Amino acid sequence: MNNSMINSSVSMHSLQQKLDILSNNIANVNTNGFKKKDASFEDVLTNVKGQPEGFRQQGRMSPLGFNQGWGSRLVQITTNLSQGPIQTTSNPTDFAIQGDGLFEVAVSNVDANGNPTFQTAWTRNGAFNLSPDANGDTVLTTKDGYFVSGVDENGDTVRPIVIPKGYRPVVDQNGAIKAYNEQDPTEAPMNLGSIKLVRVVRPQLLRDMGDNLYTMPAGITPAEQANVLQTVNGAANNGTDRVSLMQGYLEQSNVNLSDEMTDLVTVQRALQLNSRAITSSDQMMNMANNLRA
Amino acid sequence: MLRGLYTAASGMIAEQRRHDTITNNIANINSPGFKQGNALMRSFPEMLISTIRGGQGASTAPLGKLNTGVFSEENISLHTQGDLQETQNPFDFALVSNIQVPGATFNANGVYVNANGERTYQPQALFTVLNSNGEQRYSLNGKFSVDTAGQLVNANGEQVVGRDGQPIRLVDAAGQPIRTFKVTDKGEFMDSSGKPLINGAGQPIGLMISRAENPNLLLREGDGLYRINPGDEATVTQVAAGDQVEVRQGFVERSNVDSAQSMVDMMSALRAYEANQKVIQFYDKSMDKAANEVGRV
Repeated sequence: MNNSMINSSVSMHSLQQKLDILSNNIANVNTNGFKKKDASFEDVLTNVKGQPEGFRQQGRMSPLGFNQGWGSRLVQITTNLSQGPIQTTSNPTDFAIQGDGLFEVAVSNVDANGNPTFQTAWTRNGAFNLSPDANGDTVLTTKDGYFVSGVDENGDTVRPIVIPKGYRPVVDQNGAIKAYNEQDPTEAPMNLGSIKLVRVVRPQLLRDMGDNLYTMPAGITPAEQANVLQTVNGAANNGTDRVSLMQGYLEQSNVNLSDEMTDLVTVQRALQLNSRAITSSDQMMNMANNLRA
Repeated sequence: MLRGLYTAASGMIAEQRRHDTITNNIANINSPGFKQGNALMRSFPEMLISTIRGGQGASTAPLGKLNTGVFSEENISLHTQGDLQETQNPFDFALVSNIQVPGATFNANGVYVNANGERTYQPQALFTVLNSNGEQRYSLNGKFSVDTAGQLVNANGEQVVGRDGQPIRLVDAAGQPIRTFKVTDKGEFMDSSGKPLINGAGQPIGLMISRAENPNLLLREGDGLYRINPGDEATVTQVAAGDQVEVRQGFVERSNVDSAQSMVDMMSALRAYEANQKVIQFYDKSMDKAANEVGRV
């Protein structure tokens, strides 16, 4: 009886979720390295009211049965990894990536026994810091204090990247770090390996873990993992779509306000239409109730 | 008896169905590839009514024909082209089709009626996917993605079928994942230099575009999918070389629901429902008179 009402309330629920995604995008319009989320809709499972053979009348166009839909739902929330605009900051610990690349960071945590654990995550936000360590040197960390992973000359991942005291890091577009002595400019620069860069092969499979970080989906095998992200330091970073690093720049959010506002208007109008449908079906139920006035 | 009472009741039920269908259209105003449904009604079978002349033999005098109700017969999808929306996502595809049939000139709704009154419906092009049972389904929603195995899948994880009838796997002959690709208007996957991409089996990768000869035979299944009844399978084939079908990469086809028309239809369904309700109330009043006033002293 109240199919229309179920229909529109299911759809309003999914439109509300779309609105939440849009407001999250708009809220992060100034977050460095933020990638916007897209979502799309799909119609909900349809049922067919059966009709006996006698319903096959002259002029009928479709097979027997009356098709009935049950509204729409939100499916496929994807991260749009398109390039954001790059802004100069002149800060030597700010990095921007051009191309389909990500930084690797180690998210530190404490396990049940109080021992430190590290979880590998990836980010596009290159606003890093030099944090002092126990030896008086400095290590490259994110703003949250997570270590940024590096790669040594053998291609092995190293963590953290240590910049000796009194040295100034200079990073080239492949991520190679050279440290210059600030007191003695004549001293040859020290090679400190590279900042680890990974290329995103399957952006659809990355999972968002908040704080502008991405992780792998649960239960993925290491072989499959290599098909999602590939380390690109060294020889792998050639060809037409190279990943390059820019020191002293930051990537802005790739949210385009005019796109979001257009979407917002569409969603708002769809919500209004659906609420009108609820009002209309409410009136119908009222009429049915008042048959015997 | 007052036979019109049941006629009006059937009218209320039929208008309710129409209202439900319009609500579902409104609900799917943002679903890519959705086609607007239309609830068509048919009157109950005609019957001949006649007078019975009591006491003068068995002869009767016919009075005329009468339909005693209406019902929702079928829900027909309007297969007109939806607007294309640019998404710049290389995994989004839209189909633009205008398949012609020799000797038929289709109108805006994709129907051609010849001099004898026979109808021809415009064939439609659809993407082909495999559901979780491995059965072929057809879809106009070209928002695709990849799974961990590198297979091209739709939003529900159903595999997209390639030209060779096998699921499309974006992995090259050396087992390396294919990262970047361009899709031509015929649905062939090309690398950045314009050379066809070859899959693990050594075949060029391409989307299987199905052609439904009579789109009315497609049954909507939900989740953006259509299926075809057993027995009608022969009406769905792969598109031929000369068919006017184009694949657009980086676009999706928007729903073809017309919001203004839907709003008007919804209001008219509501008012028609109300009119039927009023008729029932009038019948009720007549019965009230018959029961309570006739014969009152």
